[in-house]
Amino acid sequence: MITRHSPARLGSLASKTWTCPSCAHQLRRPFSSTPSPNIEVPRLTLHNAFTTSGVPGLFSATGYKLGWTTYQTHILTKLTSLLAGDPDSNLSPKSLLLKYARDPQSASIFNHASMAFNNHFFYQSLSTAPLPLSKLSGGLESSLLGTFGSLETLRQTMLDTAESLFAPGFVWLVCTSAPGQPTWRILTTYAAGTPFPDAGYRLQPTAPGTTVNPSKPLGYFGATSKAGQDMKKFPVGGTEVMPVLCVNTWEHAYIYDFGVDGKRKYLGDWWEAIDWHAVDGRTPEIEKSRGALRGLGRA
Amino acid sequence: MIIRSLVLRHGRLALPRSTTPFRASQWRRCLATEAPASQIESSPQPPPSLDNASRDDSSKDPTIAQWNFFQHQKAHTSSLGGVPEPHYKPFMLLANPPRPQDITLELLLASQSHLGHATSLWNPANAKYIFGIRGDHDPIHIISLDVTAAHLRRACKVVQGVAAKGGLILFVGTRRDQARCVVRAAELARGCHLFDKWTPGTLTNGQQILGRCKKKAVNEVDEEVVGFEPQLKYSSAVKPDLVVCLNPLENYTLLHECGIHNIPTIGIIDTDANPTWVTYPIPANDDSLRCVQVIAGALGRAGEEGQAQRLARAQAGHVDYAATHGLEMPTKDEFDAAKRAQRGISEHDEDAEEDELLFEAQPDPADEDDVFAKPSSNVLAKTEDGISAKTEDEPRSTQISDAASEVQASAQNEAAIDGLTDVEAEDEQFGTLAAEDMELMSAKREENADVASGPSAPKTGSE
Repeated sequence: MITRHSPARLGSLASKTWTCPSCAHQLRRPFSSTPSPNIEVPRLTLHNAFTTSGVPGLFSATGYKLGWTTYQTHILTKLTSLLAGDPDSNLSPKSLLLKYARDPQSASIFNHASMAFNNHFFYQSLSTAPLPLSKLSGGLESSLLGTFGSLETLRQTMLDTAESLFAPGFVWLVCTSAPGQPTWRILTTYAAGTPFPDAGYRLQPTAPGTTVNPSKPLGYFGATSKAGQDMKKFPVGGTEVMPVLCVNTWEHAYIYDFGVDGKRKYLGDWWEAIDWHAVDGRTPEIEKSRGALRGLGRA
Repeated sequence: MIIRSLVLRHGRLALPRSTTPFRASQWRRCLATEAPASQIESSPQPPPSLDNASRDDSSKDPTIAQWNFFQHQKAHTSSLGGVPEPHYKPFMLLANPPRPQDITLELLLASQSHLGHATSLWNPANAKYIFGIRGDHDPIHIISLDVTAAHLRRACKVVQGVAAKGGLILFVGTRRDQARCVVRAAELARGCHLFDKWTPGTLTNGQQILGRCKKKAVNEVDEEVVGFEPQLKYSSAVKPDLVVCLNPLENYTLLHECGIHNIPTIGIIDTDANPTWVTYPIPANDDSLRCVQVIAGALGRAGEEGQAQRLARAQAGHVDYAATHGLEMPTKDEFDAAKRAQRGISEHDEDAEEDELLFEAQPDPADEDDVFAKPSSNVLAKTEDGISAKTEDEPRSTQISDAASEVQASAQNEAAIDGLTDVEAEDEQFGTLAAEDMELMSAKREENADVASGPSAPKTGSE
């Protein structure tokens, strides 16, 4: 007896909670001949609200659409086409940027993966009802004061750094795990640089032409070249860095709402629009508890 | 109560501290996977977290702090930027195997379970499992996925039922690379695994092949109960109640022995295999590792479910199965002796773990007059020489049996011999012994010592 039951009958007995990868893939989109990005655009929690009425106090609906919806789709589509169905197309952008940070031949993959990551990180700090830092409970504020002395210093430093970037990039507030060193740092990453030390070769902290290079490298790649020597400066896994906040200084993010010369105003508005609840969620517990101790005078 | 046969776990790395000395050749004969209940879980354990710890960070291990930091970073940044398509991750079949409820035709198709062998290799007995033929030049048979799914679900029910009724399940997969899924399935179902060759006669000649396995008695909630050691020493090895074989074609002897002993079997039957070799065939592709891992995972999950049911009912006081172990309740003396032996082992266990071969037993201050304390240290220090046994024999023969000191000395010796792997056959008798056995042995030694009291005393223990 050769049975030929229809698969749908027995397939319906499957559990709704656990679906095998093939099933999940089919449920998401119908079969079509046109390729769509392997790596899909992540869904922001407040995407609908932002699409309707923009980010309050910062971006309009169109500005948000330009900076996030259109741009992120563009970046991920480009990334998918660069990977072209390799096994790498199953990796997340963060895994991709860590993998290709030291491979100049795959710089494009790194750039797009890192840009996707940074852009998503930036928009995750925004909210329709942002929690101001004064209303945030816990040890985060004390911890920040421990490094920066005052919140005004932190604000000034971060915004001045962001304004001084000539080329587009991101400015990060990160928490480090290295003992004996300042816990909070402000990092600048030009273009699609990344703050993670594992990809330290592509931190890109300075603009081209601003550093003096006296020694002539032997060749361009390799261990004895300048690039190779730079790679050695960042120990892999030596210190971990947890970014908690970043500001996007790429012009396409703010040019629609603020104009080419509105960067300073944009940065000021951005600081007021930060949702410190999201920042608090990203801060490691150990730092918050240290801050709480410090606030109580026991650190 | 359930008897579980306890043998060395597979692999040298996972070698537990066993009180019975083993030969190196016995490591490969693994019939039991006994992991403590605390280690068996279906999902990866969360890393240690400092979230609820005290606020004083200076006393914490920096490694733990770094680990927590890394885990926090991973949790908050790994998925940013884009969502890759759901895709096949091979390790997930081991880390998080599919449950019986998750068996779908799409899963089986993606796992290549429908691919049979060439039509020329067909075993006509499994015609009813075959959907059709595919290919023009080298046609192969295609196995019906719905038939596979139905048979697999039935097998899962069997495994779950056996586990729920306190049965012992043996998972066998002797092909290369099947070891991990076999061990994982056995771990989930709290059964036994075999990924090496099945020794012919393990069931039919179990007295010889498994005769030296350590056995333990456990109660209905799987806690070990002491006092049965004398009875267990002479009882036969435990036989499984269900055998799951992932490659029946290479394990005919195993399945034949199971048939002789009325042990039901589950097996993956390909188009060239004989379905009558097993009790519950699962028509599927046994050559695809992914398919085998899916099936083994589902059966392991079913066993896990059955075990959870059994333990839950046992906790509530309901035991649904009959105790057919043939043991009798131990007498008070046996129980006390076992308790004493247990305490004796636990006292010296720490030392034995630190220094296996150069262990010197710390003489108990209370036993300074006991002759056994001194020579045992000589024995262990000179264990590499051949004279060790001889040195041990003489003081043993001169000492009249004293129940308390003998039990203690046997415990010391046992702890001391812990970890020795090349001990001669005679020395294996110096394991956990009941008091009456010790008396018997020492009486024999007296005889031997009298016989061999000359200068050329042979280097042998009692026979």
